[in-house]
Amino acid sequence: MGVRPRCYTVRMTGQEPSAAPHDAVPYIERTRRLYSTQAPYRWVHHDPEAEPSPWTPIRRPLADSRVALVASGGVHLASQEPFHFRNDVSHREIPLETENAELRVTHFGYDVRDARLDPGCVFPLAALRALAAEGAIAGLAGPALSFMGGIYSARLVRDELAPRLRDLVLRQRADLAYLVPA
Amino acid sequence: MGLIARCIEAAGIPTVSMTSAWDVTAAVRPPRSLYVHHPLGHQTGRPGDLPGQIALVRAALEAAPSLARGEIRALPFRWDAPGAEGWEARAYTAAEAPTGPDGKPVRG
Repeated sequence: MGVRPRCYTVRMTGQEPSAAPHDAVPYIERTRRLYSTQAPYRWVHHDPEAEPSPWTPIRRPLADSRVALVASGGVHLASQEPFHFRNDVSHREIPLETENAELRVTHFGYDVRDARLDPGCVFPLAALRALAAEGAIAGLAGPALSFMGGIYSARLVRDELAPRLRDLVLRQRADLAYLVPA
Repeated sequence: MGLIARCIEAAGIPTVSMTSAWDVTAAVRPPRSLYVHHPLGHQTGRPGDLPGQIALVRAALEAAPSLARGEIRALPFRWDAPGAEGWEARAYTAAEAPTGPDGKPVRG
């Protein structure tokens, strides 16, 4: 594929400031308080000036776009190995025609009860298929990509997981990537 | 997930990310983020509500082209499940901390 762009390419600035809704849950503060006896979870922080978000303009109309789904809710096929407890940077490839009944959820960082009832809460494959069927999007790029978030090591995400998922999305020739954390 | 969004975007594919954790997303700064005021684990909707999930995903994808670089925008989706009033006060507190297989709390 020749020379690939590196992650975290810094280009022009021009970040849009945004105000948090007044009732947004302060997750960083609560995580620190809840797990104060453990080594602090280090959230990744990018200074908007020094490390602005990479930027690729959306040029293609949605109806002409193939959309790739990447989700971190710990969804996998019943036939696939579940995710592990900590620092699991493996991913699972989920065929686009998979029905919800074939999916399982393994994740230790959020309450998975509703996602186990209906993986569509965090893995909207059925919703995206419906949007493709009605022509709102051109289709899905596949297979869908799934992993388990809550990874302690930003280095492992940066050096292993992110480039691997990037290469898969590139190979799928997706026009837009839709990312769903949990 | 923000790190992955930035990595894919830097490779030339536009990304749009869901979030229900505004502060975490504001720290990582993905290229485009859409916030829904839902408890974690429901970033694309309620269980058993495919029409609602479709509406949410559609709203997110349709909003994506109008987002500025680094913007986090709230979509008009609120959590109003029965008995869920005040869920914000309980989220990620000792009462509702997720636990690992050993029964001890883990961090998301």
